[in-house]
Amino acid sequence: MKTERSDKVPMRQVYAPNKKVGWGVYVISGFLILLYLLPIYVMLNQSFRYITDLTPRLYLPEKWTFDNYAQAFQDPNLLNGFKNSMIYVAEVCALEVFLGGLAAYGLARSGGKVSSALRTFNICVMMIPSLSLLVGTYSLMVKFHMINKIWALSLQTAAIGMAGTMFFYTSFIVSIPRDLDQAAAIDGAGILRTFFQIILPQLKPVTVTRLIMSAVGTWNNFAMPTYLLTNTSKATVILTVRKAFYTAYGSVQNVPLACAECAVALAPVILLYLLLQRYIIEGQLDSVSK
Amino acid sequence: MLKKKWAMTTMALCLAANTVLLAACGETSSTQQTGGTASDTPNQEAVKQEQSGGEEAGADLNGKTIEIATYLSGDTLNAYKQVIADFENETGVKVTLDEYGEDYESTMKTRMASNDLPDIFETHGWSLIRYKEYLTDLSGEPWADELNKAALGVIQDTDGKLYTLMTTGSCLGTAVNVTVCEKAGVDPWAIETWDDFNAACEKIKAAGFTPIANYFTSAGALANANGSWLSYEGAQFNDNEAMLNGTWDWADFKTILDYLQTWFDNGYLYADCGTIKQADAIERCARNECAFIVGIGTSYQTAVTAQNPEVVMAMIPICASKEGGARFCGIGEGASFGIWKDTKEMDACKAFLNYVSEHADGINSAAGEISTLPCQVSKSYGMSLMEEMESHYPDVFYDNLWDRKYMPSGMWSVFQVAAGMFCEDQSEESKQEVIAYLKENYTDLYEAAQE
Amino acid sequence: MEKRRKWTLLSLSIPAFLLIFIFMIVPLGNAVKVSFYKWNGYSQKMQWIGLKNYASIFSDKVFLRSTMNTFIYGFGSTLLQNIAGLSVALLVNRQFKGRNFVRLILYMPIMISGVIMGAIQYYIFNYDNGVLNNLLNLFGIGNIYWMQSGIGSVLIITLINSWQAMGFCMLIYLAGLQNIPKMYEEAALLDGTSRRQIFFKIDLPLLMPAITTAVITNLIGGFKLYDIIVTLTNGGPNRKSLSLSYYISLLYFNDEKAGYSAAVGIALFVIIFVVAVPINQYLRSREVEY
Repeated sequence: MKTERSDKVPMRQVYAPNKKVGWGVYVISGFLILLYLLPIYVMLNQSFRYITDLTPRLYLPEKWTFDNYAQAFQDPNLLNGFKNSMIYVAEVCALEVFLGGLAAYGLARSGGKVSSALRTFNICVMMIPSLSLLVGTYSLMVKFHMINKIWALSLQTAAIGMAGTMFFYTSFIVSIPRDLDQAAAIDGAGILRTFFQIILPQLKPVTVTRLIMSAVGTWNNFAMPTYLLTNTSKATVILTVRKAFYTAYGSVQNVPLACAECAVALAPVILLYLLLQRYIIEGQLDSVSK
Repeated sequence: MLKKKWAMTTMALCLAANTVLLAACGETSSTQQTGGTASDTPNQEAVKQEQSGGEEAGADLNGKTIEIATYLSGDTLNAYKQVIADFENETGVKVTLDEYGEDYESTMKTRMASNDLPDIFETHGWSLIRYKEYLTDLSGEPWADELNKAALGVIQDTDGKLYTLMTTGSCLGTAVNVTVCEKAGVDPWAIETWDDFNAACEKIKAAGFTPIANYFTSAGALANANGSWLSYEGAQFNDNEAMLNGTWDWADFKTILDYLQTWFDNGYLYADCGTIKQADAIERCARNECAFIVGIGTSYQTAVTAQNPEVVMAMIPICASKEGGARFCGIGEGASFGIWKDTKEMDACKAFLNYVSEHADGINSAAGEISTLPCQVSKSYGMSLMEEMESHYPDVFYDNLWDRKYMPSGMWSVFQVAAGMFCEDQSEESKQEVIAYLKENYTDLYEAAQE
Repeated sequence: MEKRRKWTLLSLSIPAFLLIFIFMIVPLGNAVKVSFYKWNGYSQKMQWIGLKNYASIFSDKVFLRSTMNTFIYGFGSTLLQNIAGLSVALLVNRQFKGRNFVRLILYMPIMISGVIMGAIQYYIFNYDNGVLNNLLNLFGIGNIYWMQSGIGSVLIITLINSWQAMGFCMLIYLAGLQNIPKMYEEAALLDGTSRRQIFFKIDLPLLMPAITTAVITNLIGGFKLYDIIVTLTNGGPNRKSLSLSYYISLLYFNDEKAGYSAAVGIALFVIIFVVAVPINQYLRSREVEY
């Protein structure tokens, strides 16, 4: 990984031109790593406990058990949640990248007052927290029977994220030389073809970054799904895990089981993150430094 | 002018909605009779027939799908799932179960808003006040006559209509950690009035335990014990009528706040009682750190013993406010199921309720609450707690949960907010603020309920 | 011809803006309408009360408190994340063994849902048997009640939010640092300028674009904060750690005050707008540079 990056741009070392660093750097790094892994530790530690284990949460379980995981894997809601989450993420990503990219291209290239006004509008929209429109959105969705429909939630989520996507893409498209479009136009390519054949390939690294950001945001989205997906068969993974932490009337809250469900739900995300770290971190780095 | 026009329109709409509603009711019951089993027998018999002719009914319902929403969780939920699975196997009806847990109420509100309710849902004490307009009258069902009187008192409407099948009643009292009491030299069975209770708390505190584990993130602390001051025989006030007709003087509520203040002043509560949840109280009780929690169902004791089987728990009634007053337990709907009036699968739903009424044993023993149907329940932990209590206090007074009997729908959340306010500050001004907040919302909700 | 092309290009953005219109502008209109009524959110009855909902906003202590919290969540997290992000970026920018690992771990919490994070952090900050207090006990310090006061809870939520999202800032600054041409520093070093001076005189000004990106992203994120609060404090104690987003949903689904909830939503909308306009100005001026 280090080599891949240094192939492109040689690493510039500002404060430590020489490779020697003090032990302080390691101490601080070690501390930071512990600080950042603490919640994961707490979660895993709990998940291996028996419900009767009431010893301090900092220490390892009195007696280890894997029962909680066995139970978590048997929970059909969790599996179903994965399925729902994947559908939801795929729909939102497709909508955002496709419609957002297309719109950004139009806005970036057309110029003029209308485009400028729309872009200003966009930035305003970008800042609106979706919950400020909760009452309006919810009663609208109710009126048109869009409750408990994943596609409807996808449309809503994509709409909320659309302004951000457009803004993100616009700033990259303006940096692609217009000559490319004009050359394509001379070759007789229509606008749509120019976008798909010329512009989109140029935007590939940005798109990957944007896709990952949208996917993570959508996967973890909680507020609107809580209210719009009330049917358990439609619940996403996050909603299912959240439920595991409930204390409902007349129930025994099983924190170890909840933590095991949590671990199962997080595992694929963490795994993907570790596998795709190059795209995620380097992609972010590249897109940001543009 | 505009306003008036709007009022007229609303009224017209309401009237129209009402007629549609009535028409719909009439329609369902009539199609029921003919369509359901293709016979001219009256509704009640038709359903009975459907039951006895199991195969025929099975064929009828095969392939239908019904949606059920529940707030149950844990063991009770598993028992319930078992009943559902058996029902599915026998009839071929497919059941989708929504487990809303803690979010049950808010989710149901959203579903009421969209008028898209599950075919069957739990009414958790609100079958009459909140859900009535969405429920089917079930008084003609075969199990209706079998419900015991205590249950009927809670769920029957004034006109004799019945909107829910209640298989268990939850029973709210004071949970006691006997182990802790013994260590502190307190006899929980000798507690009669709140004064006795505070004396016991004093001893427990002196022995190094936390006397009361009530938490103020829930409305329970502020709402569940109110009856002992306000509405029961020998209570300090007799406000039932006034609370029900909206003329209640909330100033009487101050007595309750004044009493609760003693808990704070004497240090009976946990320092973090304003932020903990039930799960924390359970965990601490399982660690034998605290003695009482006031106004909680027997499921609490069940949960504590699940975390620590060694601990001895008991239940005593909620104290009387003065000598000679009623020591009471609140009875609420436990597992109780109503049918949405607009369901498309009325037959399947009714068949399901019939099935539950005949196979409720599992749910009842898991819930550990009072059984309201005559069935052979193997004695559950909760039942034994109640029996033990009755052997010590033969004169326990049972009544519907205070807020569900005397308060309009929506007050529970109001009490929850008020509990937070009171927990933060018990000064005189704060008490007035709490009372003003309660009163304002009570008036609003009461008016809304009258419309 | 050119004009036609311009309009064709603009028309590419129609689907995206249509989505925004349906799921943001229509709900906004809807919310404005509802805000003039007294409505419990599910009944078929609504009562016109004019501007009363808006009038009661100003005497609502919880609203004022939540507004203040929202600002703390917004600006506080931004400040913390930027300071921490820049410091960590400086650390990770040094060449030492395992720096990629540090980077990897520090960015990871961004992948984890706020709801889950809040649920786990609850067991870290818990008064009795919380992991943090367990740790302090090791050093002979008694339990500390972290969530005792509203402001304590607000600060802890801000801290957790900053901790979780800090990785993003780190990456932005890392990218910024790597884009600073090395010769500037070399020249300065030859002149005998100290490292500290180099940082403030050369690096910081050159990092300005990165800083703006980070600030804006963090502000938007902080103002929308909702997930962590739900599972960590549930808005408590006594509704003193609510964000406006959370307050809106509580008003709607818990307190049965949909009309008032809509009014608070509009208020949040206005607040965001006031904050967004200057930022918008800045962003647009920056875009011109491309």
